[in-house]
Amino acid sequence: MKKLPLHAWHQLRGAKAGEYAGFTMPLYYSQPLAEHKAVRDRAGVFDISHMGQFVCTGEKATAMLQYALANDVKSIGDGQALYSPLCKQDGGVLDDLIIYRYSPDRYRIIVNADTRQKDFNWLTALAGMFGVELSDLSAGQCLFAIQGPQAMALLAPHCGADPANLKFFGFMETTLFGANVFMARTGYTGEPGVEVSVALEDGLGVWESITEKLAIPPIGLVARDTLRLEPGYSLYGHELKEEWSPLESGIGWAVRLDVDDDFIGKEALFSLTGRGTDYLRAGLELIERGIPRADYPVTDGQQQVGIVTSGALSPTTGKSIALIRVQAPLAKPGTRLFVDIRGKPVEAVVVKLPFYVNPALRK
Amino acid sequence: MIPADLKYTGQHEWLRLEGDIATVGITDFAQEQLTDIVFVDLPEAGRKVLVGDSVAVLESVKSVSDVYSPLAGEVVEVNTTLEANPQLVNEDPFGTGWMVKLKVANKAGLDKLMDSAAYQAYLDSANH
Repeated sequence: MKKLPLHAWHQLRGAKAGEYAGFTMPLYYSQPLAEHKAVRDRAGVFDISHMGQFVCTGEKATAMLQYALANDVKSIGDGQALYSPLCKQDGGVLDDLIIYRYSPDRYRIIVNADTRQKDFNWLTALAGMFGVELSDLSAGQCLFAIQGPQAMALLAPHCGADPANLKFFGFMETTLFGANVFMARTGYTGEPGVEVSVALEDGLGVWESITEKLAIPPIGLVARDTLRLEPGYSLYGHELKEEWSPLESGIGWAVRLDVDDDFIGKEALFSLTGRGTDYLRAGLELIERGIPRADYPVTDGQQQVGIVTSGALSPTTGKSIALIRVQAPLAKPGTRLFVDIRGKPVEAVVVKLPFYVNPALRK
Repeated sequence: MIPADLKYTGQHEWLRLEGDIATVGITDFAQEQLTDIVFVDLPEAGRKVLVGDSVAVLESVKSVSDVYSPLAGEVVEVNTTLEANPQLVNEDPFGTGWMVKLKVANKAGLDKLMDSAAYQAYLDSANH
C-alpha cells in the first residue's frame, strides 16, 4: 500500500485510515458529517496527493491532446483548464481528467489515482507518435484542495496573487505561504475554491499553515464523496467505466463531436449519437425512507431498468440521493422508479442535477 | 464507560435482560467505529428471530451494517424514535439509542455472551 507524503501528519491527527486506489488515505479526522458541513459553511482542505500529475511539452502538444481527448483542447487559452474524458477507440472512458494550458506547447494534466499508470502508458504512446514529451510529476508533488465559500478569501492574504482574480477553471503559478505553487480554480465539491500543487519539500509547511494558521480543517475521503455527489460529479469506477461511453455516463457535454479535428473514439461516439444510447445517467431522489447505495438495482416496479452508481443521504439537503445508470427513456425528471433496498422496493423520482451546488461556484 | 448490568457479543451488540424481555443495542465502541449514524432500518414488531439473525440495519454516511440478535425470540417493540433521530445511536448508545426489544424464546446462548469485564478485556485485546 502506498502512503501519502503527509501520511504521518494524518496519523498523528487521528485520521481513520482506509484504502483507496492503492493508497492508505484519511477517511475522516472527526466525523464525516461535521467535515461535510465545514466545507459547505466555511472551508476545508483535502490531501489529494494520491492523484496523478503529468506535464506534456512540445511543439505538437496541443495537436496531441486534441487527438487524445474527446473535449475541444483548442477551445482554451493560456492559463485555462479543461475537463475531458479520455476515450478508447470504441468510445469507452479510460479516465476523466483536467488539462491546464500554460502555452500551446506546454500543459499540466491531473488524472485519477487509480488510472494514473494506465493513462501515463496510453498518453506516452501517443506522445511518441507526435514527438511530444510526457513526464510524470506525481511522486514529486503534494496536491491539496481548499474548498468552501470562504476558501479563497482565507487564502488571499497569504498568496502572491489574489485567487479571487482566477476565473472558474483558470489557473496560475503563484506563491502560498512563501512556497511556489500551482493554483487552479477547480475542485470536486460544488463550492468555490482552489486546488494547489506544491513541491514535496514544501508540502508539510503549506499544509500546516492552512490547517493551523487559517484553522481550515482537514477533510477525509468519506466527506469528499458526499461533497462530490451533491453537485452530481462523476467518480471514475462508479459513474465512469471503460465499458461505458461518455455520452451515456453524464459527461456528453465534454465531448465535442461538432469539431472537425479527429480524436480517439470519435467515430464510435458519432455512430452512437445517430441511434441514441441505450442507457443514460440520471439523478434520483427517494420519496420513501432508505438510503440508495452503489450497485443497488433500480426497477420500474416490475423489472430491473438500471443500477445505482453512487448514493447517500445528502448531508446538505437531508434527502436520499443517487446517481443512477438507467434505460434512456426512463431518465427524464419526474419519472417514478424504485430502488431495491435489501429486497424492498423503495419509491423514488428522477430529478434534475445537480442536487446541490453553491450558486457562487462559477462566479 | 461499559455498563456493568449488560451482556455483550463479539460483534459489539449489548443486551439487557429483564424477565423474558431483552433490549438490544450496540456498544459505544461500535458507534464510534461506524461514525455518524444517519439511518436506522428497524424490523416490524412480531418478527421472529434466531440467534445471529439481523434485527436492525444501521447506515452511517458511508457504510451499511447489520445488528445481529444475541438471542432467539420475537420482536415486541422497536425504538421508532430512531427513525427521526438516528444520531441517538451515537449520542446515547447504551440508553435512548437502543433498537429492539425481544420476547426471549429461550435463553440458549445467554452463557455465550460476555459480561462487562469480559467485554472490556475483549476490547483491550484488540481481537475485535
